[in-house]
Amino acid sequence: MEGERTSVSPLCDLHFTCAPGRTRTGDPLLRGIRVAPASAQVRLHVSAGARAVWRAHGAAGGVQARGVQAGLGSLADGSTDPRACYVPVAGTQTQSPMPAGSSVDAQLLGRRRRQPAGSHSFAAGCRTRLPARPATSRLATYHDGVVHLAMEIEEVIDTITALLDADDDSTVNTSMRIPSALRDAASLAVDHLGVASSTTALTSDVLRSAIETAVMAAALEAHYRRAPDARPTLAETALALAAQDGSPLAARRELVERAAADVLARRPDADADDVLLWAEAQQAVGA
Amino acid sequence: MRTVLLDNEAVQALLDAGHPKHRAVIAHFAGVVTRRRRGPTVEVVVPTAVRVEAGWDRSDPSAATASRLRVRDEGLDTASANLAARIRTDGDVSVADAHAGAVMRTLTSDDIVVLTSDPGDMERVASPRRITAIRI
Repeated sequence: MEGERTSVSPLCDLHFTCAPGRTRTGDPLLRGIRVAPASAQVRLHVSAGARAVWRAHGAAGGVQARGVQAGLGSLADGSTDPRACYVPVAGTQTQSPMPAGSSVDAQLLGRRRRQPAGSHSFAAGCRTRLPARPATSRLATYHDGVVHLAMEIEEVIDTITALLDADDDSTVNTSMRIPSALRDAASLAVDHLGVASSTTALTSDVLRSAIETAVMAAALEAHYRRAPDARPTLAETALALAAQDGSPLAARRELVERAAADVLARRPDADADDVLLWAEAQQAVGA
Repeated sequence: MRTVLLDNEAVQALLDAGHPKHRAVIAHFAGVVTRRRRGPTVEVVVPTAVRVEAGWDRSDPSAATASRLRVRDEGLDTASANLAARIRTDGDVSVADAHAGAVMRTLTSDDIVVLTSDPGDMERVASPRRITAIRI
């Protein structure tokens, strides 16, 4: 299975490329993850779209995913609401809302499917290749554990989003500790540099901005896991930024692509602004 | 401060991972994240009339990613409705475009970027406000 890209469903389109006990570098969700306990319960969010694809797999390839099918069967036809069902792994007994005694025994044939045009489901473009694997394999447990963790990340994003959007002006005396020198610097910046109306406002604004940026980045990463083709290259991001800046570089695709390749060769963690700076420098040298 | 405004097709492309321009719109969001990490304030907004026209229901689970990207709604209050009505009457434009124009004219940002399928229309409804209209 090593090196094979798989997913458990279009809605839980989470990939793994390594064997149990090993991790794929570059994916924070997989970093540090090891094989989950054989008795672990994994929660899967299932949409009508995912159900449809799974049923299509069943019709085409004799899918045997008894526990999954039982969970999907409880969904109303046409519903697009994600539902949660608890899927037992390694042959353990199920818990509500799954019928007792069902188990995951996925012998799913791999194939790739496309969502119908016009659909807004993330199933579109997702890989739905499901490998044949025994229910009791450690790999299955490992995979399901990754699914579980990824869903947790998305729930965290949604919870943070709800908190950021909450219409709540109440304040709290926080127990957060900040260096006293930093507090004094903030106070002076407020009083003499006009950076904010108060140190509280300054702290809140900066904190909110940092959290929002982190949420946006996490949401994009979560999206890329569902729809890998949606991930823009560094050059594409740089071109988008150049367009936003009104820079002439936006019309110099080849130059920016070359700059992205050059910068990545030297700094693998470079961002789009690094690429634009390098492209501008190359343009200046060439002028 | 930069404000990135989404027009109808930008929203549609954002919502649908199978849309041919989806990746292009996502690249703009990735650019916003890049810039925000470096300090400058960049926000993304959508006029609510545009959201209606594009069919973006934030409570729809299939729009989860779009709803997680901190895109702020710009609603129609009395003042902006009056302005949008004038823009619509004067320019014979759609309600969504008129609302987008009203938003662009009243934003306090000094740098307005619009992701749109029709830059000319957006520049017209935003006038006399200068904007950067990007064709997606």
